[in-house]
Amino acid sequence: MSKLQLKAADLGAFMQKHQGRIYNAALNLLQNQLEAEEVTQDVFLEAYNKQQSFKGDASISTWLYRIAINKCIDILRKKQRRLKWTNPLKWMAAEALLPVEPTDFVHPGIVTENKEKAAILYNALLHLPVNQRTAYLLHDTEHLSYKEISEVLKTSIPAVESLLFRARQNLRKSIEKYYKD
Amino acid sequence: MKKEHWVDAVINSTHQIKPAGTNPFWVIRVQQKIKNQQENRHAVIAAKWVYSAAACFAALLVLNILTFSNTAAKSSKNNIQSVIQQYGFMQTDYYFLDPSTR
Repeated sequence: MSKLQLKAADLGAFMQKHQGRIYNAALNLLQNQLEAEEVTQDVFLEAYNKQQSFKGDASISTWLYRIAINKCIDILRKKQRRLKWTNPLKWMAAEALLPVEPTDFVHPGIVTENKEKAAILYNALLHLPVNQRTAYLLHDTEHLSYKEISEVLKTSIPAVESLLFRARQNLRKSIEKYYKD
Repeated sequence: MKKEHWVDAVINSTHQIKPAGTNPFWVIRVQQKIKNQQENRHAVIAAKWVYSAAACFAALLVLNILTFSNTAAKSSKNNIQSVIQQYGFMQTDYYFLDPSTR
């Protein structure tokens, strides 16, 4: 595979090609439009600055996803740390997979009749460990293959299968708590 | 059973998701950030130079303190000697001298 040779002038076409997927992945993971926009821009800035580090052993989109996911994980960890110190009760509830409060986030691409259910799903996703949440979203909303997810998360394919299995189990447990007869 | 179906419906609610639209101006923002980086690259002093300057300053400060403390100790002895010489005191006239020199 060839190395990446990106010039500032070529950035427009490069971003046009990849920014949609990166933005949507960041938006699903962070559930915040402003943060997702920031992450998307930072991903392309880092890709431009560190293009020599692209070895060509994975596809460019996988490499960009990896940068984006790392940035999102950093933001989520910072938020968790902040929540732990500023609101320990809420943090403990989140750790115990209890419904804390409904999030007001729904992805803008969700069809209208599914918005209510999607809000519950996004809220339940917040209670998943970050690596399970990432694997689940990359597979179910970004439609990445197990191999691609393993490259993004730098792990093995069986590990991805295990992450997805546990993510679905935890997600079901969490969603069941919202069920009303 | 009804609960299971409901959970499945919640999980499948994102299956027909359409990608969220992006902003074409992000490219301009990123290009501006790259331009800013290139402009600031010349203005920023490398960390190694900052640390070496700080180390030199600290070394000079330590040397100054050491030199000053040595000369201050010597000069206090010299002052007493010069007074003895000037007024022709004998070395036995201890009442002028510092108790520590007796």
